[in-house]
Amino acid sequence: MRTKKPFQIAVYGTAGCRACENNIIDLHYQVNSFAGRAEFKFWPYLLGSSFDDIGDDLGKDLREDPGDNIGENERFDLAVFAGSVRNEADAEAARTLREKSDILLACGACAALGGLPGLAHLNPDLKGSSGEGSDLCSGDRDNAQENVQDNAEELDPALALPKKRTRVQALSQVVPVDYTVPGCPPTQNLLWAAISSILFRGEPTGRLSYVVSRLPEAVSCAILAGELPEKGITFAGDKAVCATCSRAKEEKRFSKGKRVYESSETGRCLLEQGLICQGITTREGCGGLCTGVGLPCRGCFGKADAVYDPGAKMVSAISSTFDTDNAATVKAIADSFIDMTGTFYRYGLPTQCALLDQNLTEKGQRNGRSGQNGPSGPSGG
Amino acid sequence: MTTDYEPKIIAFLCNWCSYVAADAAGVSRFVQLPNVRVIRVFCSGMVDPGYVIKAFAEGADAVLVAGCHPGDCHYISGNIKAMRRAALLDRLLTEMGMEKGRFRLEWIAASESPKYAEVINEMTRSVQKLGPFRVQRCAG
Amino acid sequence: MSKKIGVYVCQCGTNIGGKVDVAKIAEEIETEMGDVVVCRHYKYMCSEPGQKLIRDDIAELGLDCVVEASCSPKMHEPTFKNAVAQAGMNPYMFEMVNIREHCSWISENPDLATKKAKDLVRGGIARVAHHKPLTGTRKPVTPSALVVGGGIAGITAALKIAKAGYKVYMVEKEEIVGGRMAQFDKTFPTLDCAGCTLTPKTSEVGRHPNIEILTKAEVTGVSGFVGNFKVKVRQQPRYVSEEKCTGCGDCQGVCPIDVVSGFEVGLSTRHPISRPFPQAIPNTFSIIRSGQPPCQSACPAGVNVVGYMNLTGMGKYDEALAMVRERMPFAASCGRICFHPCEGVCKRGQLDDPLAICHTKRFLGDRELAMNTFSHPPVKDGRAEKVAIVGAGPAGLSAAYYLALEGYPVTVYEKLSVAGGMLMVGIPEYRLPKQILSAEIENLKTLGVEIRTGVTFGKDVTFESLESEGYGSFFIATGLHKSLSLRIEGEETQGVIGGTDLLRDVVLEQVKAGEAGKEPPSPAIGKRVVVIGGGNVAIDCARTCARLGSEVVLLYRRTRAEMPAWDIEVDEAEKEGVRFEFLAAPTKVISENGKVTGLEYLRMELGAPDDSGRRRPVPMEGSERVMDADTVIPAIGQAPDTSFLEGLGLDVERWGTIRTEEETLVTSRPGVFAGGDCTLGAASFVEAVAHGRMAAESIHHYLAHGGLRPVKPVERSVPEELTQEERDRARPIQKQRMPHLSVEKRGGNFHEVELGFTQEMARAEGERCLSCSLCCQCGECVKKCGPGAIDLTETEKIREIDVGAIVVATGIDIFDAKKYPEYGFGRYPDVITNLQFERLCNSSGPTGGKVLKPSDGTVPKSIVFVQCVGSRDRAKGNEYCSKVCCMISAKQLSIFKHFSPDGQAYVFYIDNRAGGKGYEEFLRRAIEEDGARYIRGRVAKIFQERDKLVVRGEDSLAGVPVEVEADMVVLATGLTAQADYMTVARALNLSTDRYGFFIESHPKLGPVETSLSGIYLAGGAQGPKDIPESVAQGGAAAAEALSLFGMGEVEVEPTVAIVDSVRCTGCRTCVGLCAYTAVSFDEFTKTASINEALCQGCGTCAAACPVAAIGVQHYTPDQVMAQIEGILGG
Repeated sequence: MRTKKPFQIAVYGTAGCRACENNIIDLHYQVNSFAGRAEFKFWPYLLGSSFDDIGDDLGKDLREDPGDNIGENERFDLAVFAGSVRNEADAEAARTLREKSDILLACGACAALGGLPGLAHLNPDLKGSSGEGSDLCSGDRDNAQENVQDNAEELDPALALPKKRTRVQALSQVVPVDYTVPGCPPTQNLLWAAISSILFRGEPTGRLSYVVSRLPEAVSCAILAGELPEKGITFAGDKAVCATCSRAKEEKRFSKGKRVYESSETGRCLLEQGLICQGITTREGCGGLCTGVGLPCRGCFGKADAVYDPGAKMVSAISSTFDTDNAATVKAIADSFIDMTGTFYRYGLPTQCALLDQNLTEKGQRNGRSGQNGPSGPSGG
Repeated sequence: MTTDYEPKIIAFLCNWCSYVAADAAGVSRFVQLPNVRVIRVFCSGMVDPGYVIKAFAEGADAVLVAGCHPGDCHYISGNIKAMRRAALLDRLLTEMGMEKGRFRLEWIAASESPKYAEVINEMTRSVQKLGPFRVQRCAG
Repeated sequence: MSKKIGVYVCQCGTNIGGKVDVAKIAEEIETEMGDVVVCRHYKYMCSEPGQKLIRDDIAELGLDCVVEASCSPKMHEPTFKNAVAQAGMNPYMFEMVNIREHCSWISENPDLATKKAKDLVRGGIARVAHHKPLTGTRKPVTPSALVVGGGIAGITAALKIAKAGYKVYMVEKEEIVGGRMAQFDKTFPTLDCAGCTLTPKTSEVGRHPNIEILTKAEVTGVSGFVGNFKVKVRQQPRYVSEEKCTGCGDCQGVCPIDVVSGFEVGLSTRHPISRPFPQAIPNTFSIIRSGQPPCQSACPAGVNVVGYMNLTGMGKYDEALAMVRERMPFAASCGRICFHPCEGVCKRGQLDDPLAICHTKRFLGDRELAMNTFSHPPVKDGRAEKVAIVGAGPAGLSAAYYLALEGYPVTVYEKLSVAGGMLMVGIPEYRLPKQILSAEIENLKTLGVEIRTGVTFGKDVTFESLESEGYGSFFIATGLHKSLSLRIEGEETQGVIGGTDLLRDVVLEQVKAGEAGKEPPSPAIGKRVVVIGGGNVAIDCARTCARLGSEVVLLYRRTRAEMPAWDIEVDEAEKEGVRFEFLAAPTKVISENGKVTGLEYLRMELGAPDDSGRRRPVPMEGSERVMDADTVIPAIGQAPDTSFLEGLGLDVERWGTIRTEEETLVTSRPGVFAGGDCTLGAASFVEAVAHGRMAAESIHHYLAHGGLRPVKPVERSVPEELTQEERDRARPIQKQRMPHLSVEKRGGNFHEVELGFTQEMARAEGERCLSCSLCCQCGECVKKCGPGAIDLTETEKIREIDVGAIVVATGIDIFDAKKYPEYGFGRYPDVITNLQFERLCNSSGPTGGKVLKPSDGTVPKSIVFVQCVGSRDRAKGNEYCSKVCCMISAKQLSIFKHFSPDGQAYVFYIDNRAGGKGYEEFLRRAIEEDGARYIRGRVAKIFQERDKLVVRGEDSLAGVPVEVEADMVVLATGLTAQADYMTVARALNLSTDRYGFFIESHPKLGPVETSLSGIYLAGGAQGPKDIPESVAQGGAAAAEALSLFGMGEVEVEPTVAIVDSVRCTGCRTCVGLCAYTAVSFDEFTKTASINEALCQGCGTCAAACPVAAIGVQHYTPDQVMAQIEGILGG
């Protein structure tokens, strides 16, 4: 019989697709584990909660003072943040949840890496912009001016929409993040591994065994030992997807890029079949879900730790195996590639593209150059 | 572009042909613009596109990779791999809004020290015209 | 934990200090960079005091690593590595920064130079912080050497190594060792006889127990590393056993072939079997053969065409026929009806007309029949096992022939009343007279072949019945006798006769009549005959009917261009009055009361090409016409008699032919083989013969060894392109035309149309053969050779050799003087190269050592030497000086003067280069004592005027044009890299300069090493040089190899790729990329693994690895990345 107030969980979704939040909902099969021990206290998407419900009288832990409704002094054990930071409201939410939560979990590719919204950085309208003050709405800017977003306020203050930021950023680029679960969306077993190892520490981990086996040693040890994993870690593998991909690998000789519908299911490595599969550079943990069913990896876990820049590595790995020594033919093959930026940096442009300086802050001024380890993780060797 | 602008160029030279050519160019005192910083590698096939991107990310305005002529590679075919990579890397960089000429692959044999000096000077001047590098396409 | 770094900046006197503010750098570095505990600058770091600075700091300050900024690492890296090592630091904790060659020497602006130097130093510092102590591994050395090239350099190296007690393999491309020097006469400056100095060496090489000479051999690949190479060598056969050959030279006398002698530089010819000169080593004869000639490759039966053509050319008709008989039992018949693919590919065709191979063969056959003899290879001892053959066609009979030769008792069962199959009943008399064929079949019988005609297999006899009679194996060759039907209305009407049926009936009638001795009754064909089809059978039918007095129309649905029949046949048919109806296809046979009265047909037009490449005919609507006819003969092809085949119970292909295994002809029933048309579908006579032979071999192996025919290695084939040398070799003889029976004489009879070659014509054709395979394997020498040393069946060998060191001494080639057309080399016989001149002076040369004009053999009074032909000439791509030509010309002119004291020599030179002991003095003597006139200037033109050559040039000293008359002009051709240098370079992974000379590791300090340790250079292959230099370099290379053997083991550089097996995901991107196959996939750990012994450290795999799991030690990603940051961080 547990007297302690259940763990308080907040879930908040910003720029993104809600798939992360749906996946949390789909954790229902763990409902008995949640029952009575954790409750989702703040979740606009599911509970219609709003920040107005949360006062800013911080620091007081309600767990000593029972009471069910969200009070001013609400404080969370765990805040799950899904989505990238796109506008000022997102940033504000990030800051608030950081302040009011013991543990902040970046959930999903958007929060972890910047995600698809990050591709807004490819907006050609920004050519020549010096970085500060640039407006990241996509589409051409003249229409953007007439966009209701900008003059809504004049129409009716209630319609006021949050101001867009000059950069799309991952959560960690705005506030310090404790843990990260990548993926688009994160697989449920990783999500569950994260939540349960953060909240229900020291419980039997039987149902986690698979996940645990795929996690970096440090993490799995912590989980099994029932301790809080070291701050800053990512709930995913540290190798690349190939390590867990079930496909038969032979020799790689790339002669022509194929689309999925052009490939035939031979059970052979998708890259060897000519599909641009990013499993070779992408952080594992998914267990090769996509490649298993013949879909090339899109890189939603972000780059593997050792990789400096995913684009560069994909370029190197694929082009090295071009099946010709003839310069003209090589060029022809290279020219057949389209939207490499959108492909290789699909989920991580704001955080993992070395050429896009990660250290430019919201206002555009630098705060020190990036370490030799590049965007994140060591450069290998 | 003002002429007093001094671009920084990183040159990856293979140990067996181009580095030797660069040495020879020095021995024969072929005057070169002082903007190139040489990094010696065993083979042009050793140059990871990541190095190139790293150089740009660290503020280089241009990158040169030079190796033995096709067929003369000291490691049989390392330079061919370099050629394949350069083709695709060039495409990626162009997509991200980089001007042509900031990244170059050249074949410079040990016996071609004059060519080495030419490439260095010609490249430096063209980069001076382009001005400092920053990724145009991405806000940053 | 940060490392203690010591930084040392060298002033190199003013070399660096003059441009770069060394002091400023040292000062700033020391203050700016945290890990740097000491940063000094000094005048000469490489000097002992300089090195001492470093050693002391390491000792006193306990430095972890050292950065040295001075000259190129190519210059002094070893020096400093050594210095730090002496102070007890791991040499790989040292980093060298090049601020001289790459900075001070090439920069103008001191400030910018200083800035640049500082950036570079910062890079070095950032990099060195990531260095790790490394030590190379040690591997034992295989104490044996490979010497590539048997010239004087290679010989010297080989002897030195062998004498030190180590095994040496000498690989030589030619059939003898000695190289270029063997071709020379005397050597400058002493005028010693080259031979007298070389031959003792060569014979010593030949004798030495430690030296194994592999002649006619080439290195095709090398794997492994210093001290442990695996070398693949491909060796062409000598065909003459070095053990048995006594060098008597009898073989040469009988060799029919003369080819230009490479050794004599085209001044004389040689036989394919020969020995370049009496003292040659190996001192035995050998045969040069360029491969299998195209004619033989094209012949399905593989007859040695070049062999019997040349024998015919010599008038040795019996031998020639014997050669044919090795692969073709029916010479006379084949010579009449073969479709001779051999002639299509004959290389003489590229010159004028291909040889009339087929007609020549016919002559040989006819001649034999006329003399009533039968030449064939010897019959082996009789064997017990009986073989039954079904079908007495060409396939069956050839099988019988070869089995009989193997000594088997053979019985042939034939359904028809006559033997010969389609040859007999499918080909009309006028093309292949029956008595010719019969005679040849009779000959077969003399070998003990029994032919039982009129016996139907499957009815009269069966597998079972014959097996019970003790037949051990069967060969089914029943051919293709059913005519394909037209599938049109009214085909069953009386008066429609299948093509093959008609021909058969006609023949059978003729035969019957012939036996009865009376005129054959004309078969049931009417006056107006329509033949349908475009193949040879259709033509045969048409011409047959024409002979029987009918008026014949031939209906073909395409045009003449598409007709499969041979042109000659169509022409003859036309001559004989056959009318052709092209683009017409039959639609219906018109008949009245059961008799053919006409044929309805459609006009066609040609549409798109079908898969056979011929344009498909498409009917034109409503173009039906009718032509009167009382006989319709469909001859659109044959089909197998399936009803019969099914009876045999053998597996059958979809289209009704018997299924066999291509290589062995074995059928689904053990012991039963099948061949010829009944397996091939409608094919040719000669293919049937080939099948017969193949079947015979299979059956022999089946009965004798219970196995199947082993597949023999295929000989490489002769290059298709006609070479200049072959053009020169071709005798100017016209193609012989086959005489024909005049058209008037053909009507109403079946007399043969082609009348055959006379002996003279056949011989002439034989003499036209270019013998493009060089040795034609006619076997004359084999017969002549007393000790039986010659074996023409030898094939090339591939050997794998383990050696510790490799000396590359592949030597030099001579510049091709034809590249100067204005000098007329190749056009004027008396314009020769200096190498040719050497042969003229050489007592074992073509003139026995007399300097005579090649044109008329007279003694030249004046000789002009033209220097720098192919040297120091940018226009011709050779900018370098060949180094020896000046001295060679001086030597040659003094030899000339000694030979004819009243002769006058002129030399057109650019500069006289006489660097060498006694060289200048020698040159002086040539000028002063021998009175040679040296004219400084290039030669513009050489042309013939009457009996003199005129050399026009300029005297650049006097600045006037000059013309000199000469009897002979000697071009001092420069030295070039071997024509095949690339194949050698590729095989050994050597780097070459743009001229094709191999690059040494250091122009000053490493003249014999290459960039690959364990592989050394000697002689001209590394650059033009004279004999003493080559010898010296050979010795030096040997010394390198010996010191390697002396060490016993080698340190392998630790700069190899290493796999981080934790990161490696086993994606296999790297595996295919390694040029040295050092990367492999470990099935157990499921990760990439690298064989350090094979890895050369190029880093291609590391750059490609998608997860940076591979890094080359000392060049790891973090080291390079750090260097980048360091350089750009300033």
